[in-house]
Amino acid sequence: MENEKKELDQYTRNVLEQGVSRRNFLRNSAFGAVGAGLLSVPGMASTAAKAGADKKEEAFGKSSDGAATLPFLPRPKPIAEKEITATHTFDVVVIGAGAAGVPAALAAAESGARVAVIQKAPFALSQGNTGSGIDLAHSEKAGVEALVAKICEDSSHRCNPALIRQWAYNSGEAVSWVIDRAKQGGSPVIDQGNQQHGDVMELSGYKLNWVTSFFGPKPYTTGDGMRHLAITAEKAGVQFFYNTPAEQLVQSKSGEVQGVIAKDRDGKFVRFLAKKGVILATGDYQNNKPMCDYFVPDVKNFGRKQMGKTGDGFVMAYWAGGVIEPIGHTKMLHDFDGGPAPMCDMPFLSVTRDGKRFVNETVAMSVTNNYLRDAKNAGHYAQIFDADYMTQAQGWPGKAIPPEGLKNYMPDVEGPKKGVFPSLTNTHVANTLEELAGKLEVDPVQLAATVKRYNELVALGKDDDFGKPAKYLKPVVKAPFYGIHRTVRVSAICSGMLVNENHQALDGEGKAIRGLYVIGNLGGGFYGGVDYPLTVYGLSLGRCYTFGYLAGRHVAKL
Amino acid sequence: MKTKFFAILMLLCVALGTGFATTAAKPADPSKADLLAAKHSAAGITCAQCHGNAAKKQPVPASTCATCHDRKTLAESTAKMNPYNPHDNRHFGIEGDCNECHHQHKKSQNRCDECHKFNFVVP
Repeated sequence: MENEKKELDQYTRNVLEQGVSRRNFLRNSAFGAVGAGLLSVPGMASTAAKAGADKKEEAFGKSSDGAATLPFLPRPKPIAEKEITATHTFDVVVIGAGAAGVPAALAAAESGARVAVIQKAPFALSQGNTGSGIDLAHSEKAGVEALVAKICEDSSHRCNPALIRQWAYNSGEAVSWVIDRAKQGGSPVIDQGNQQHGDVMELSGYKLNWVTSFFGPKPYTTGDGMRHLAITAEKAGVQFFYNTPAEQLVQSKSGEVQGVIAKDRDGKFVRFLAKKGVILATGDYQNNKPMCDYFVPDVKNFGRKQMGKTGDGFVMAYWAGGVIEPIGHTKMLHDFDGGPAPMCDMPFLSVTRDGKRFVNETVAMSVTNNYLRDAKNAGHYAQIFDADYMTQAQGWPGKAIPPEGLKNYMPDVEGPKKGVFPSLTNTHVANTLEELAGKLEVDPVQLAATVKRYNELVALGKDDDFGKPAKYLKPVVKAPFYGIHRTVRVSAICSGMLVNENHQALDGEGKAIRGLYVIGNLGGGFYGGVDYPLTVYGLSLGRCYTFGYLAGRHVAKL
Repeated sequence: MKTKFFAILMLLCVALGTGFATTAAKPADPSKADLLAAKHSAAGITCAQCHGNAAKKQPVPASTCATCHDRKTLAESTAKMNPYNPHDNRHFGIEGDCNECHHQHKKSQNRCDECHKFNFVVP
């Protein structure tokens, strides 16, 4: 055991030591008891404290140091055999029909397994449009490695590089496969190739090419895409059980996960046995407030983009012995709906609801949320520019959309909207700054003062207030004035359960839990920074597809 | 639309009221006369019909609502609402949890508007 442990990489060792698991709680509370002087005979401390700890953890999970009870980790209530109204046996049971679960189920079925998917919602669900993979045949290995290095950097070097590499070297195949199979189900998905990856392709100078699934344009999204992929999966023999939330895992005394007990739509317990393995793909926990407050308190005041993401998989995996990555989970906040996506990182003047400048605007939208965590701003800010923006923004990051195209994002402009969610558009135009401030819901008096000051800095050619490079200092003087009211909300929280490279959950000692696999946003190790990076558009969905594809095939072949 | 909603509701209530000749709930507090619970009660629906007979009253799951309010029929009746049909939406299809918006013992709410601007009137 000790030898095995020494071979673990440092990411895994760190999560084992700091993460939230039943074993960590038992171990740490034993030490804690000694420190607190609860026991006077040092030799007896460990066993006695452990017994006490066992008793105390009956109702809920505990923090890794044993100091706090975690109400979001309720211990599963025993379900009597007589309460189970039916038992179905499959080779593989996937819990959760999203961008990881549906591909996993189909991949397993194509590898010959009998597969069930149980899903809480009435159909498959996912979000976003873009999923990215590397076209290995047309990329240089040095380019792939340079990208791996960049993604690790974006995750503050706190991720598991082995998982990044696994995505990098398998994602082209997986994304191509998703595109092909979704088309078979009737999806209008296309491969956008390199279209969205202009900036990232110039990072290293090495050759890099992309396979990019685009489920769109909105209102068609990857949710529709996964419903189309599910049609292909059903044809391949996968059985979907919708409106069937998983309640708890079935686990043998030796710890092997053998299946799951779920509730059917009539509220009756149904057992799904999995001869080869259970794949958990239940997504994140953004709608579980106590869990967010504990693991990622920074998101307290932000809106949520999803519903029903209550962290069910975390509870199941924890009680099966799994390890949740320690506090400081990675969050994903952005807004591609209020205004055009390609303009989100353009360094136009930006202001808070108070009308004040708040940051050097070269800061990317993906991290802007960190300046807007308070209850008043709560992720709201506005980008402001004037009539000359098309010429002013030449050579800036992203792509400026001409005024005619901006109308598509303007709720006050009549006419049909294309490629957007009309109710989420929030771009405005006005002949005066005051009128614009009204439409943007920004303090008009302060906005006028901010613009005056900004124009002074532009004239000076130096940003004395925030240090923005001079090339991005352009005046806001000529009507009409434009503004994009962006509202960054939580798209996902993307930290999760500790897994190995087979996506098998590890227990608190670093041993793989037989029969339990974890993919999608419930899987840990792929991120680690404060925020999900937007360096590679479509990294999140690309990772979900890739790990679903790999895990499905792996478990089916066991 | 609001009128149509109530018309359907009242029709259902009348139909159910004649079907169940059981004890109606006690008269509602006048300040709560506009609440859905009062309307259900006025139509002769008893507490137990939704909450069951247990001493401690249980929360009512949407599946209970659906025993009277057929989901498909309901979705069809609101199909022309603008800008979207709240009872057949991209989040939950026709299987949404009624209780998210329609409350019985407090004012109902439009949960769509937490993110969207749909201005639905929620009975």
